[in-house]
Amino acid sequence: MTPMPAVRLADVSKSFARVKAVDHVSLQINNGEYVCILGPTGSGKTTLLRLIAGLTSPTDGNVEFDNRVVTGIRAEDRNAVYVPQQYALFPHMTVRENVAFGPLARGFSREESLRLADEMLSLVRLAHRAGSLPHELSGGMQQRVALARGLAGRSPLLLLDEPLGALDARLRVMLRYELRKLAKELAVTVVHVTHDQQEAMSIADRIAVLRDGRIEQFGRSSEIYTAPDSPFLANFVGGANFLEGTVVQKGPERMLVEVAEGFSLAARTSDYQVGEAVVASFRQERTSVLTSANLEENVVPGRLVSTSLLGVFLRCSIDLGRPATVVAKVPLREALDQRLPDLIGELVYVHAGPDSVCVFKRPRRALAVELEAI
Amino acid sequence: MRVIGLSKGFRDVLALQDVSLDMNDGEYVSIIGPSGCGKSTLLKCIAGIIKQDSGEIFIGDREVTSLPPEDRQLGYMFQEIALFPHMSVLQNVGYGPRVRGKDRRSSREFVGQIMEMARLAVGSETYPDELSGGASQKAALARAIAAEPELMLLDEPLGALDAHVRAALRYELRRLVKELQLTAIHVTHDQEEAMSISDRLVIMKAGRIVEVGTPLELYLTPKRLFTANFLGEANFFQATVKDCTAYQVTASVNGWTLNFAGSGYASGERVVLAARPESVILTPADRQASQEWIGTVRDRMLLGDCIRMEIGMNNNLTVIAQTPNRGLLGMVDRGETVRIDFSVGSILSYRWPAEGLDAELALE
Amino acid sequence: MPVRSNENGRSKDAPAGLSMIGRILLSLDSVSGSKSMRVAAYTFGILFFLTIVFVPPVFGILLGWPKILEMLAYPDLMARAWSAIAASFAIAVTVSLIDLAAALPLAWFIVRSRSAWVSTIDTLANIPFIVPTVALGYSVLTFWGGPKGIGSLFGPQFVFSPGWQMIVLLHFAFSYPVIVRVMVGALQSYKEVYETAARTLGAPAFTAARTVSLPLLKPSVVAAFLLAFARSLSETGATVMVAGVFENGPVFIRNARVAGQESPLMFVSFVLIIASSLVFIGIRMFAPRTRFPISTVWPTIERRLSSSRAIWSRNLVVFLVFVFFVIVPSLFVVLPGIDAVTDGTLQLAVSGSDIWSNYWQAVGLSYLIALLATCLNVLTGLPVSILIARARAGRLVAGILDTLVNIPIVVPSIALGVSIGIFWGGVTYISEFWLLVFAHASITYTYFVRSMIAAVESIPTELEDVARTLGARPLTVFRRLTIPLSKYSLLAGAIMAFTRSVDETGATLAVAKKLTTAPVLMVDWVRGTIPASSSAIGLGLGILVLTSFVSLLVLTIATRKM
Repeated sequence: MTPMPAVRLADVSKSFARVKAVDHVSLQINNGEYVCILGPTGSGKTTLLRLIAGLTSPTDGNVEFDNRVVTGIRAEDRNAVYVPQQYALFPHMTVRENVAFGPLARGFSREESLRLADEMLSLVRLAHRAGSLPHELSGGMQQRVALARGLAGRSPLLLLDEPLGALDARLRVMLRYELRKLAKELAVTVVHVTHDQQEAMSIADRIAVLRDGRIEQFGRSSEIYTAPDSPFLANFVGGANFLEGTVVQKGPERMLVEVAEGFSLAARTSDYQVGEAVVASFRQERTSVLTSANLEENVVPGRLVSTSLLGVFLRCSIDLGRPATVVAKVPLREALDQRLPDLIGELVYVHAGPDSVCVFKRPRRALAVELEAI
Repeated sequence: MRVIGLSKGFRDVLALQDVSLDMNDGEYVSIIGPSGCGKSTLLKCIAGIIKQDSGEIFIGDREVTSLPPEDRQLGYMFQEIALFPHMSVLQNVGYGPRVRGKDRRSSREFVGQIMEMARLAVGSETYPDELSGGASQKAALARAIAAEPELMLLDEPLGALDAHVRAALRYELRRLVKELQLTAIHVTHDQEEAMSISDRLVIMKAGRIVEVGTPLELYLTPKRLFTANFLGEANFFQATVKDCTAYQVTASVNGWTLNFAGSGYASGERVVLAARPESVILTPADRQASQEWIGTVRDRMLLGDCIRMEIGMNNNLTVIAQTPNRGLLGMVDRGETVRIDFSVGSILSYRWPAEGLDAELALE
Repeated sequence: MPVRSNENGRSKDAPAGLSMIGRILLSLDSVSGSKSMRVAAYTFGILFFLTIVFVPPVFGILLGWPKILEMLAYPDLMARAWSAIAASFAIAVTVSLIDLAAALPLAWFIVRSRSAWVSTIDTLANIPFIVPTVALGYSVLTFWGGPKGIGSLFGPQFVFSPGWQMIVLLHFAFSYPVIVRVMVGALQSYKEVYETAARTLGAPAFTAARTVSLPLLKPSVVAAFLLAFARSLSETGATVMVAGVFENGPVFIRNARVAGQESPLMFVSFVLIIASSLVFIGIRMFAPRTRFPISTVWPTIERRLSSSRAIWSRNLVVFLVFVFFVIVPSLFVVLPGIDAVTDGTLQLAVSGSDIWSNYWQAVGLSYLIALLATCLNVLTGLPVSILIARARAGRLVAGILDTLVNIPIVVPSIALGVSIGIFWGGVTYISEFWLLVFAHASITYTYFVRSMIAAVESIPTELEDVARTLGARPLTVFRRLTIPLSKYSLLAGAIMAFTRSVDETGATLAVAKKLTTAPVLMVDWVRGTIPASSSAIGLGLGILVLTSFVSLLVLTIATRKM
């Protein structure tokens, strides 16, 4: 059965004054999918969500629901529920009244609305707080009420604007899995906007990366992570090391990229020709730190500048001299076995297997600007 | 910096209860905990922005307990950034020297130096609303540093920023503080942020200090269950001790046996075991092996640098396992039956918490 | 998957068990979805505003152009007129500046101090609001000018005679609480974090307040100044009481009306309308560009000014000024009122004999006019407030309307009344009563609308966004979100408009030839045009104070319940 596109954006643009917030975006979201729109602040994600919700109209292009054009239809008739970042719970109504608002507004009787509300509240495990006012609840609870309110009217489409953004880091991690479970249980199509790539990676069926109003890449999270289309994507989704260089050799399986005087990195082969200016990139968790040079390819000496504990990994910053500073994420146990924290200031070797190195065309702008380094 | 017996109540809530803390010169200390644990209140009392109900505060050798903030010689970074909107960025950064009557020429030079160190380049007519999130954070930091403080207080300094900017800027924070040889107290709810840049961590909950230690100590060998849960994901198992020797404990977890390093428990005692997801080792189930610790992979998810797996055990437990992303080749797949082992020394054990397990683990 | 709903998710079932009202509301709700209905509602609001509130007061005066030109023939009269106009502006500017200097520290104290006295002082600061301006006028007259007032405390050489000094004292007293209220509101919503940041950077409290908070509060300071300025420029009744032979604009107009001289009346009204509008617009345009001096700092002096001793002595001075120049003069009217109870005037009043029958008629009239004017304002002001606050017709229209809506309080009410009288003068079927209602509606419109605009603006737009995507039509959003969340401001705005109308003297003096409202009657009693004993005056004014107090009490109770 071909999945039905629940939402389609057909070449949609939206400008405010002279600023183009959304620039020719085309997107197709299937029924029941959980899609994340990922991008930095100011990339146009909220505008995109509001366009789908009908809270603002596109300057160009059309929004379609189930193959029907809804561009001219007002928000209250689209049946696409919007949950803003600060939840916007109605402060003067109890939790129950908040959740019953949707059904009531759509014409359900008072009894039916309250029943739907109670049902949803038990689903999010907040039935015991039905009579409380929003300001009496903790952040995590408010978030669940906002969700319940959105889902009570049985709308098929849920639009979430940074739903976990206002929560503590650990809570965010815990609640993201609950959020996905709830959405899947109720078979709702979800469009979830966020700037947190870890969140998007862990929760979405597909991710659309947005930058300056344009879609950079749209695909399954594993696709975007293992095969990003540009250095920006490689850096924004997951973080990576970048070394600028030139292609010096090209073979059927491997390429050689010269990144410094007399030193080349072996990489996966790609379409670039010898002599082209490129950027070699490898993931931080595929970068290992060795205490002695063995004869493997892609081993570079450097000085261990610092180590930081990330939890699962130990983040090591190694200065390679003229190429650059490189970051390696070493699993904590291995790092401790190697005694890396004691080796600060010492000579170490950095290694990234050729299969882990991929090559991009050198961007027109300076690399730092392209990566939006702070 | 020293704080002794600090307490502060707001109407019916005890924000701080008898908090004492010592800090050494040049240390970078983070105070972390869930929202409402009192960490911001503690910082504000140290700054003099809030007046404590009781207790003493020392900065250096001076007692500052009753001094107003302007006399405590500190730098404060606010969560809201709070750059003065009616002054240019340079005027903002130069505010500290100016209000202390420093002469204009030398303070202008000084401001220039600090801006360079912070890698912030702005024109003389640039105003705060024109800066990006990361740049305004740097400007706020530069402004605090320009006031030549003895102590830097950072109140969720990266809270208003995007995740990736936050992750990059935190190392800049530490670099600047260390380069200038300042002492810093950094308050945050983000445990990864705190662990990655601090010399020491202070964990707070409900107005009290729960535990203090280096990031590595607290992550690998937390003394409290709350710390274990707060600093990162962990699998928690309720178990009953079957046997205990001087160095090894045998316990029963939902009917299955588990051996781990530990001592001091009585037979039949109820304990809580914790194991981090990265310490879970998965092997495809072998038919001749024992039937214990066998389960089915319910879900496998690529998180990016890690692969996260949810395994439904045959004894009704759920175990989360996480391995570094070295490619999905050779990884167990969804639906596969696997055997679970825990890497050596990775299982932590705790006596049953007095207030109950849920209350101890609660993150808000 | 959607249960029991049609294509847009609306319930197909006729909702069972819905009452009659429920059905009406539901149909109104869906009707409000149609664009034409909404346009109609907003247009109605704007039309009312333009035809009743804005155009007659501002442009009516132009219809009297011939009479205005007649003035040019009388140079002496012109000279007197110009000096009256100049006096109005001079007094208004001076009083407002002094008021700012005196009231701002009190507002600061109310918001920032942790002393137990704060709520008492806050309530005291409202007293001049409770006292109607005519009562305040008489109070000031007897306190600063009578034998039992300041004279008995400090000696007869401190007694003032009616004239410009008393006007200054009067205007100072009634503009003071306006500034306190505006600045308290501004300080409460001001983000103190900026000032705190300045202090952590080493700035003593005084420097931090001066270089950081004050510049950031500038819009509110300017707004407070403008309100005080407008009030001083506009007030008529009480000023007439204490003016003696001195004339400012409103007093001149009133004298001209009493003497039956049309020409000078229209001339001065015309000049006042133009001048006050220009000043208002000018200040609105240029105030954002002026900057407080903040680049120089005097560390040692300012540090000493921040010490607790300095703060304590500053608060003492401010408080003394507050008590002696605002509170005591305001309450002084109570004394003759008390006499009235003892010397038999009270029985006379209750029996309605003698001058008292007119009094009760006047009181009834005042309240009826106030009620009608307020109702008109609420009904027509609601759509306009929403139009402005949410820019429903675009930002340009909202901006223009926002400025226009403020004009009626900027223009002196007596000039407004003259203009309205001329405008509707040709229309014979509008009775004097309705003329008064329109005039009062025009003057009090701004109070209600500004309160509503502030309230609607403070409702986050996300709430409405969410409600809409949940399926709520515009009327539902209005009924279930906007009104409940702004009911305090709605009631406050309505009561402000109501009390302002009861208080109003200028426009009534200009428009009414046969009818008299209560405050106008009081002016006549005090000036002696109608003979009345001092205890009668005291009682008459006392009853007005009491009724005003009751309405404000209603507001406090109602808002506390919310």
